[in-house]
Amino acid sequence: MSEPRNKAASGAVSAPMGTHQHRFEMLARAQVPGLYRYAYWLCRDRALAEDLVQETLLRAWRSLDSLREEAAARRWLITILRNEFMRELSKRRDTVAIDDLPLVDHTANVGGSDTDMFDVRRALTKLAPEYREPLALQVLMGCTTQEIAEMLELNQGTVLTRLHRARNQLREHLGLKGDAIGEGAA
Amino acid sequence: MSTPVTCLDVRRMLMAEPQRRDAGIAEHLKDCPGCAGFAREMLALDARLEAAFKVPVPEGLEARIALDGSLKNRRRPLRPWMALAASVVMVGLLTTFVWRHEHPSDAVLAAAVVKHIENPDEADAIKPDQALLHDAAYVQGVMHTAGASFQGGMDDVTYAQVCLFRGERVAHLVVHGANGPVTIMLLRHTHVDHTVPVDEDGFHGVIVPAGKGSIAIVTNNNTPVVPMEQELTSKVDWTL
Repeated sequence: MSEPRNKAASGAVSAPMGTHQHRFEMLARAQVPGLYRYAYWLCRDRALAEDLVQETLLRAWRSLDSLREEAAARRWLITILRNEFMRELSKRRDTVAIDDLPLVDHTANVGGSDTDMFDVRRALTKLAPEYREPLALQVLMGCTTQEIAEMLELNQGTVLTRLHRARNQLREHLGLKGDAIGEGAA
Repeated sequence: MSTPVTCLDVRRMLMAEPQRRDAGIAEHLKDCPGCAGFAREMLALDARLEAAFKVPVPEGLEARIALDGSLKNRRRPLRPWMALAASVVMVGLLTTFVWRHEHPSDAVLAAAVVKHIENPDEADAIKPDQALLHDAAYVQGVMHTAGASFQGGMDDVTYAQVCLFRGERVAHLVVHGANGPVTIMLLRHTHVDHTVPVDEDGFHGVIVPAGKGSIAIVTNNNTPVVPMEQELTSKVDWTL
């Protein structure tokens, strides 16, 4: 399968690290931007995304010693963040009517005034979460399909199908669709 | 994985992994200009997606989180009398801080509201002719998260987002006003005891008391905001 596309992201914390604090600072500086963006596309609520990243790093701080390989940091943090998001979702389901969940941002207006970017963000918000998440992991976080399959607890064929469908739908939303590409496993 | 032989196989694979170039695909792309063009199109789409996924990260977030970690690492045991004295000082400082946070000066508050509206992350929201949001449940959800509700719902909303404003969650809304977009911010944590005028950087409006919180109504066009005050303050409820 393919190589990780974002090698900088996966290897950014690879220097030898002495103290717990130094390790943590390196980890936070290298991973926070990507984690925040990933969190935003999970929940599409900037305030919640920031909370999720802070909670993730707090948990990472507490169990940093269990992280043996720095190269695995990104994946480890993504897993913590997903768990935090799931916890938050179930908390909200307990207290708020499901229709009130502010997790659907139809505006996709999250910064930047570039019209093309606005259109692409709008198209991304139209994707179902099960298609958007693997796409974000691949394009934004630089994960391989195998890593995505492990993180989302899916088989690799399902991940490939979802990535295929995600791009197919995006091409439609963006008016790019030329030759029809069949559905099914990629 | 078997070697792809047809254009359809190759295109399916590229739709899932546009950067994939294993032997079978590379070979096919060399001999098939149609699929080579398709591969370029998919890479171009991915470049747009990557740019779109990269939403702005709040300024200083990495540093704040790194600092949190550093502070946790520097705890030292205090003697009991020192701990008591520190607690008294902390309570005093905290009380002052909370009071000032909830009762900012007029000028500071007005400037903060305008700065938030002008922030590049928000600036698109007040462009003229933005489409209406037709999903009332979404708008209610935004308000709910910010600790507010609005009796009878709010009409003509073109933008609704939960934002961090002075460290607290607020509902940031934009509605179609008589002469253009008007920003409404429901500030549950900010108390004002009189109407605060906003006149800054081409923006005008008011921040009005509303129960235990306040509402900012601000615009940069000539929509009169005063008539909106009464309706907004009478219909808002703070839920948290």
